[in-house]
Amino acid sequence: MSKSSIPCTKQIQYDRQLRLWGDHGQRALESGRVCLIGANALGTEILKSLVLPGLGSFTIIDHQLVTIDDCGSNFFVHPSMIDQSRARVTCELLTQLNPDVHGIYIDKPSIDDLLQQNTFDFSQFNVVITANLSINTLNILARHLWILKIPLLVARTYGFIGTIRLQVFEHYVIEVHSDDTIPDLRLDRPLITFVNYCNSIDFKSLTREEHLHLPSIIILFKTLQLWQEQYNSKNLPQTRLEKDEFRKILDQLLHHSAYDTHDKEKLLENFEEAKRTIPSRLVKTHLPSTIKDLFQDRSCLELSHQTNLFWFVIHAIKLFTENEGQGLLPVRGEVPDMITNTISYIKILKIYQEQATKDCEIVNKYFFDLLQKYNRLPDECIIACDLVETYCKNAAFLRVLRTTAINSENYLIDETESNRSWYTCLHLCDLFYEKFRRYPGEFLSDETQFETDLIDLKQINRKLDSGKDLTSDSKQKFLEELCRYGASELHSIAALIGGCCAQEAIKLITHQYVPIDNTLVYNGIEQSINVFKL
Amino acid sequence: MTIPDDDSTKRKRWTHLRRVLERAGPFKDPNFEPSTELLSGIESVRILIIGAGGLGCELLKDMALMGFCRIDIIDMDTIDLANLNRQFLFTKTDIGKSKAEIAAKFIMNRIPNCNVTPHMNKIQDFDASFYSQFRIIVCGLDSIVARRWINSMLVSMLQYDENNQVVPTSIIPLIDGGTEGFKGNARVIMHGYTSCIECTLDLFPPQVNFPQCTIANNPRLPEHCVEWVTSILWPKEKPFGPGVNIDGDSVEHIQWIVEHATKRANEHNITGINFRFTQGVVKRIIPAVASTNAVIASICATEVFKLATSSVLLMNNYTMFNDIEGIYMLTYPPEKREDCPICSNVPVRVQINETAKFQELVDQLIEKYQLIAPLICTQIDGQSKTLYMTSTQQMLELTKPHLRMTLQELGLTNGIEMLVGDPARASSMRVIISLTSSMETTTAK
Amino acid sequence: MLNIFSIKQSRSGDGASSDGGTKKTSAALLRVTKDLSELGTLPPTCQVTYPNKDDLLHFTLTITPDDGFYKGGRFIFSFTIESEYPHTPPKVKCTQKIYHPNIDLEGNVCLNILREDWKPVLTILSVILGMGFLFSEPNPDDPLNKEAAEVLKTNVNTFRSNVTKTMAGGTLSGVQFDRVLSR
Repeated sequence: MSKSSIPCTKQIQYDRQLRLWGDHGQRALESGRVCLIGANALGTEILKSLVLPGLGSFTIIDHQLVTIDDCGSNFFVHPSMIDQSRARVTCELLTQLNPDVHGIYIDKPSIDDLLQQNTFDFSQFNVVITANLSINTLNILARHLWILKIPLLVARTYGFIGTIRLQVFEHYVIEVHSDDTIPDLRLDRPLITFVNYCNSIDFKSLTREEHLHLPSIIILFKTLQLWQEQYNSKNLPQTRLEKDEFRKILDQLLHHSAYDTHDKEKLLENFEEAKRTIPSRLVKTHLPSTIKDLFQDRSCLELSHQTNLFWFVIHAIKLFTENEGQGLLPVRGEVPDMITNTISYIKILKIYQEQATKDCEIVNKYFFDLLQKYNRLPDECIIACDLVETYCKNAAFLRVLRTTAINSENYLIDETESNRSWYTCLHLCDLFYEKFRRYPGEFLSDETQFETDLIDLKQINRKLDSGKDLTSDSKQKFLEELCRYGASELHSIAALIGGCCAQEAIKLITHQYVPIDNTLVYNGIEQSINVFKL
Repeated sequence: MTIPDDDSTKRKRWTHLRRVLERAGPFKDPNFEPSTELLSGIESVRILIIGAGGLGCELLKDMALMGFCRIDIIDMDTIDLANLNRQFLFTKTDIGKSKAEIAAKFIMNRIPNCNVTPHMNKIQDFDASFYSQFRIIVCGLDSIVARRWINSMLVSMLQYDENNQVVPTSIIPLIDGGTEGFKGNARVIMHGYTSCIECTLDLFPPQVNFPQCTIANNPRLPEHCVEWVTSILWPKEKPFGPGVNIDGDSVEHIQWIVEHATKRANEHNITGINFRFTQGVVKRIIPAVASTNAVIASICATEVFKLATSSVLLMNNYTMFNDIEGIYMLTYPPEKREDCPICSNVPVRVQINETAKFQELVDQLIEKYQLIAPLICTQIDGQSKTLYMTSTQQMLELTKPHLRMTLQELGLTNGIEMLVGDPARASSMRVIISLTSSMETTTAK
Repeated sequence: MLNIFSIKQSRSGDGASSDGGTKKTSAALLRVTKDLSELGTLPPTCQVTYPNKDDLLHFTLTITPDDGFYKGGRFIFSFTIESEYPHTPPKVKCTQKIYHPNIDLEGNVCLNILREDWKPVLTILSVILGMGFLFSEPNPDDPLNKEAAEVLKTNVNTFRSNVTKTMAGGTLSGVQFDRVLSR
């Protein structure tokens, strides 16, 4: 064995995550650039879960100084650093977690001034994250990033409640890594090589040994052939009656002259497996609606010199589907394990793999033709080969995520969904902040102040709600609870939103897994999460 | 370099916590009374964290920043390079050192006033007197065995009232978290009130075992080839000498396995064997990322904070998390099994005269619980002892003489717990011996 | 969920509780005690003995088939029950070198319920009965010892004579087998 296959230090260090997003995911992460606005408890927790797995670089924007109450919630400050620049201190302590990561901080000017000057280049980042940023600043920033088409994650904690809002103009999900996928075996639209192989097996002359090891997928296909013959059909059995007949034929195949009477009582594992896998393997092969939508997307139909490479591949797959694919996607080339001997399994695996390679080559050819047509060839062709293969393997799951812009949010629609009201009520706290420059209940020692704040908060709610039904009891309760929290940053809540938000950033950077669409509310009282579209 | 420990500094530092401790709200637990005392309550309550790995590091940080100041942490492991992508209290220079000790040191440096006592031990090294020092125990483990062990330990420490109900003040709540890749779960266990680890064993993913015959004769996947090398070729060839078991961390061992698994794979036209894959199969490596650990540990920490303060309601009581497609979290209370061999197995007490022969005890048990062929065993001074077994000839002969012996001669003192299994009962019983004195005068006292 | 716990209350049984000290009820032992009480129903061909009577987690199974190819033999297996039990199956090994299609020369046993089909509802008794079945019905379709399986499938008489020869401690294809005759 060559020495080169022994993992290097870096591969060992990242071993546990490389098993999830692969070396290519890691490479993407290591060239990722993230901007964090707000180095509070929440902000540093987000960066922590990005620095540990080896993000390329981060930039912290924060003009505040370390305070004593930071020491009661933020892990990346130390009491000896009180009154020092919070951006600098947290940047130092965060980079200590992982020397591979490059950390930069900006403590002057403030984010408000940066936005006002409009000279800072946010387009250098893969994603911008805000942590408990106040509403006015956020709105300006969100508008700015929407124009730049830079993804924005808005994270927030408020007592036991946390939220994340994603604003992204267009994000491509290439590898979903879905938990349960139905194998791409196409028994209803079988590969010619597969049909030939099945036909080459003379069922009647099988030896006992061969019958015992007949792969369940062959059993299913043989049964299907017999069923289709009997019913003069080209489809799969659909009605209950048809399915029962199908099972009957399968049971008949089970009896075979190669067995003696003693064998008959024996459970044949491969036949059991065939029956068990009917629901997942004898399914209609169709073009998933997700990819159909992509084929119809304007970006796919109207390629141009500026179009993202993603749409070139989609277009190439579309051409494949319309021509060689006869309405179907490229074959995935994977075969689930089944009870059989080595030779039979490998034979079937190779049939599917070879078809997958062929399909991929055709897509690749279309892809290169398109690149040439739109003058994209010289700079793009190097990465393209692996790229097309990954796309073909995941063709059924490719998708695009486009969220609404934050400024166009309508906060007050539909509050029936659980936890939705928390989001609405937090917005009321923001309106309170706009008016009073502090959050309701922020002052601790004064009880009468608390009562006044609560009254003011309810007042704001009434104004917004005017014309509607009387505000519900539950909403009153939510406002009261939020007033109790007084915008407190509880560390454990920051840690949860921090972990979630970091992972969303990783999804955006690696184009693996599916980001939230588009607003998450975490309720730390019940320990529940709801995601909804705004 | 510490913060002055005076009251006003402390109060300023914990402003965030104080808002929810010194004010009530509609989501508080009915027990909750807002108070300035609660902060010092958190400071003094003793917490035990089991495991200083991915979850343990997060837990330690979370607990310390939720105001807890008296924390013990147990972990027998040393630090490994592959830990560093998530176990953030360790750096490369710590490799080979005790996880518990380095983690404790880091936290005490970063968060002055927080006292962390490390124990580089197995949980099995300690007995009930150790565990009873703590008011709440938090678990961040990757082993089912260890979870079951601490679960049954805490059950064995419960006290029951005359109606066989758990005495609430004898409960040490167990908060348990677990992660695997992008999935995780967390739960609050209050024995006697919620389901326990043993009630819900089927929530753990079953171990994957390939059929021995597939490995020997019909390999189809690269996994089968690796298992063939580890389970058949290695014991036969003993490549590193007799008695040398496979060490999944030894590059040489894994390389040897890779080499031979590749050979076998090639013979069968199977592809996909490389170092990382092979090591994953051999060590049964569970993938892990920082973010999932952060999420699950934070849920645990939040619940510990709630338990200690009653500031808001507890979660009810098991939660699952997954962030592969969007983010998903579901919380529900798994059923407490009425036939759980651990938490529903309330020990019964039998009263017997201190001078009695063992025969009398057995007879009493057979009669009272309608047993057919009881198997009785116990532990005396940490040593297991089989007291009575009739289901095999050999054991019948060996244990029959016990019947004629007195309880004292067998070492069965007051309060000793025995396990009694019987074909007539669905699960073993726990039986505690209550010795009564033969002399009236001493009982009167 | 309501919080029945409060740090304000002191824990009952704190400190030196009278019967706290040594007791540790292992979940595996709790299960094993029940399982082993059922061994009285074993057929006389299967016998369980303990090297150490106080260690219920390690025992020996002796199978003396009264029928079939292996009649007259005495086959000894070691059982180890780990603390994961019943989440994981007991570990079983044949302590002798024997000629059997489902047992290899290292003593590994191919029995589905010892590996892929193990479920916590199964018991020690079901494993022992399964082991007995291996000797009355050796299964050539899932072999560990491929040569033996091949012979059983193609020529029963040769198989029978091979079994007889090897049980007597004979040599076959250069392999010396252990003598396992019961007398």
